[in-house]
Parts: sequence; structure tokens; C-alpha cells
Amino acid sequence: MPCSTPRLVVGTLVLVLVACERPAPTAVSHVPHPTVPTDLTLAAPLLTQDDLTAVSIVTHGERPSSGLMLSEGGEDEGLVPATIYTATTRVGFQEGLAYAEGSMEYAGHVGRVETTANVAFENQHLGESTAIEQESSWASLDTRRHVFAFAYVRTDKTCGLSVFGASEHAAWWELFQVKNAPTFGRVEASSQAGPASQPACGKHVTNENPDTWSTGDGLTCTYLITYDLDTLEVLQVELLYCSSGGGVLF
Amino acid sequence: MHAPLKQFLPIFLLAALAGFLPDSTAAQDAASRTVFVAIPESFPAIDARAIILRERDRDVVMLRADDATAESLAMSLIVLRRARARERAPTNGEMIPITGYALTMGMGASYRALMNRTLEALGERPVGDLGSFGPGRFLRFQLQVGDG
Repeated sequence: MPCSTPRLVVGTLVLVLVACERPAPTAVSHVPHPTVPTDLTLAAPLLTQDDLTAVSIVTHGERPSSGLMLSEGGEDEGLVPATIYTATTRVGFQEGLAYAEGSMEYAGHVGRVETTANVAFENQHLGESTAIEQESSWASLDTRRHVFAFAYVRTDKTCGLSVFGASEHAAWWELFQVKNAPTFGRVEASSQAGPASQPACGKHVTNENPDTWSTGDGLTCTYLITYDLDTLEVLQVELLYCSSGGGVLF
Repeated sequence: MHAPLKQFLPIFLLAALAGFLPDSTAAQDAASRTVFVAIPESFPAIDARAIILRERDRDVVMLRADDATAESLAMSLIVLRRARARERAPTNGEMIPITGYALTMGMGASYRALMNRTLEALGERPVGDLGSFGPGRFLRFQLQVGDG
């Protein structure tokens, strides 16, 4: 059947109009996005470094329920600062431990030592463990008291480790027994020690197989925190442990 | 009772019971536990280069965005492997912050490439919700991690 010119024009116009009315589908609007999940619902206790610090607060004797403690001579102790006679830190290794021990002799109602043991392997920082010891005593005010904090890192490593120690010491007087009672006469000191070092390790082995990987005699330092999966209550915190041996993957 | 309902009732009952049965195949499941690698946008305020998170049926290696290297991923997997050797499928949650590590042996080229490919793929993932850890990226680790 012959096709006349007017019919061709009309047909072309119709095609153009239809094309304009319904735009060609684009990849964006018609190809579905891959359904890869972007959420991973993890529930864990949100801890801070303070939660990994060993804290011991001990009170000896009974605090007065009210009023300012007076010295034997009846003099107001608030007029004289507390005293730190000695403030030291020492470091070393015991079987299975690298430690730092901070200690002080002091006069005051409260003595506090915060000690950190910092462990390194061949000058490479591995981790640190902090212990805080605070003692309050109200029984007798005219004697020197002693408080010490023992920070340690457990380890099965017998070579290559070094431990540094640092302590912050403080002593002060306190008023009566209320939370956040006013304090006065506070004195502070700091001390450091280290490093104490284990014997050097032998020559490092080399990785002969390029397709495998081993840490050889390297080590990792880890905490282990156990918590209830339903309530997220922390059940146990195991302090820092530096384990040697590395391992081979795959 | 309708015939189809009667036919599927034992299946429904079995399925309901399964939810309350003790995990008698825990050891078997441990071998196929899923491992995720994740990088939260905001890392927890803990002195750690990486954190291993262990739940009943999956393990997660969480890396710091500024310390997501082949070494940190590989060392995390070694710590995970040790943790699995100690307890294959924990009944309680476990969080294992890795405060530091020391490497004394080089990583094979192909192994390093695998770690780097994993990190590159992780970097290309969209940011999602990591629950308690806020926004971040994650992916499922493609290799089985041993427990020996």
C-alpha cells in the first residue's frame, strides 16, 4: 500500500509526541539498587579507659559525722598543709608480671597514689595499666602513713619487654563524712622509674613463604571484658595481658 | 482441621521447639561463625588499636579509621583466632581491646594484598548503623578464620 506524504508527516508527529510524553527510562529510576545491608546491630557496653583502671578506696577508722578534726594540740589542721615525706615509683618483672609500684609516706586524712605501668617491646609501645590506691584514716592523726599502688601487666613473654612507671601522689585533709566533703591542705608530687628490661630476644626469624604470614615471636596485648549479652552488664574485666607467640593464619 | 494445616503442623512445632532448644551444635556452628570487619566513625574511648567483639553467633573486628592497616587487621585476626581456641562460641559477650602489638616477621605479599583488598572494599561500603558504636562501615569477611 502506497504511503502518502501527509500520512508520513502525521505518523512522524505522533511518534515524536509519544516519545516526548513518555521519556525513556533511565538506569537510575529503573535499575534497583543492590540490597546490601548497611546496618550491623551491635550491642556492647560503652566503656572508657577509666573502666579498665584498678581502683581501691579504703577507709580506716570512723570519720566524724560533723565538725572539723583538730590536732592533739587543739590547732586547726586546716591551717597547715598535708605532708608528703617520700614519693617513689619502682618497676620490675616478677614471674608472669611486668609491674610498676608507686608508694608514698604522708601525713593527712587521705593519701592517694595513681600509678601507671607502661609496657614496650623493643621500644614499641604496647599498652599501659593503671592502678589507683586511696586510703583515708581518721583514727590517729599524728603518724606517718603509707600507701602504695601496684599496677601490672600480665605476660608470658620472657625477653624483649621493657616497663616504665609513673605515679601521681597526693595527700590532703578532709572535713566531715559527706560525699564531696570540702578538702584542704592538699599537696601533690610525682615520680617516675624505668625502664626495667628483660633480656634481649634472639635474632628474628624470617618469613620464608610469601603466601603465609606469621607474627613469629611477636606479641599482642589485650584486655578481656566479659558482659551479659542481654543486659550489657559488665561481668568481668581481665587486666592487660601481653601474649607472645603470634600465630599463623590460613 | 484443614489438610494443609495438618500437614505443616509438625513443621511449625519443630520450628517453635528449635528456638528453645539448647545450642547443642555450638561447636559445629563455631566453625562457620560469621566474621565482620567494621570501622566505626567514632572509635570507643579506650586505649586500643583495635577491638574484637564476640557474640553468640558472630565475631566482629573493629578497626580505627586512622589505623586500618593490613597489619592491624591481620593481628586482630590472630587475636580472634586465639580467642576462638579458648572458647569457640562464647555464651556471654566478649570485648577484647588490643592495646598494642609487635611484629617481628614480614607479611607475605599475597597475604598483604588480601588484607588491603579487604580494607579497600570496606572503604567503599556505605556508612550504616553499627548499633552501640554509632555510624560506620562494615563488611563480611570473606575467609574463614580458624580456631586452632
